[in-house]
Amino acid sequence: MKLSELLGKPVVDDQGRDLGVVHDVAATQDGPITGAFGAALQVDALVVGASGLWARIGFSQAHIAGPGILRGVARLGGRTDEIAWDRVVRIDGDRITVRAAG
Amino acid sequence: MTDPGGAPAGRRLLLGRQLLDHQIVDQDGRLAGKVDDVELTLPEDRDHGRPVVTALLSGRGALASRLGGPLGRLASVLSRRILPDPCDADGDADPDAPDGRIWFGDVTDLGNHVTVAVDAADLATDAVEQAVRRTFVDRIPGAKEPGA
Repeated sequence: MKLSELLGKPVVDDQGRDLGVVHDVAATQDGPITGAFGAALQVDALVVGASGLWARIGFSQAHIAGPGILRGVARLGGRTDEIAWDRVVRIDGDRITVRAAG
Repeated sequence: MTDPGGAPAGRRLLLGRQLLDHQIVDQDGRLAGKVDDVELTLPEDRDHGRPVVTALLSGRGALASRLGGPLGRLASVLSRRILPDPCDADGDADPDAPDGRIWFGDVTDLGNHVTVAVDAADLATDAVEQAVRRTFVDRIPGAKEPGA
């Protein structure tokens, strides 16, 4: 699987609710040791937010750390949420299905 | 805790923001293309494991594949015209040719750029660079003159 196959893909929960599209994929360096890099990067969450122009050009709230004015502009594109990887139920060609929260 | 390559274990990254399109630099500090995509390997037991980043993809159609749609198809056609699939002396596909995958274990540092412990000449991106030079740059009048 490639990262590009996840980015921009719509995410729905198993009750059919639209959760947005994948803005990014978060990974933590806590996997098995792999060569010079040390512990491998393991995916732990999908960063999901509203679809639209802001997300398409990479101007996601998750990507803008500062300055404040840029964070404010990025917020216009809507907030982003993280969905833990263990909630992913299925990845199809056109969408990702996750378990509903709670 | 820090591993020998300098990347702190437990560090958290956003793969799209902190890897995609970043410059790859080889062990001698030479530019070696950009990260066009990232390969994720799913665990055998999908219910009890998370995907692991196993390779960076660069050159030889990796970007075309990522773009997708008509633009991606156009980029793929252009890429094949400029750089046909490598063949051995018998005209068969060369299994030893670099395929654009850089094993993640060869990454030594992640920062403003991605440093890898391999030689740029051994990467598929170098073949792309050489092909572009042959196809376009060398045809520019004066391009082969000393100092050009």
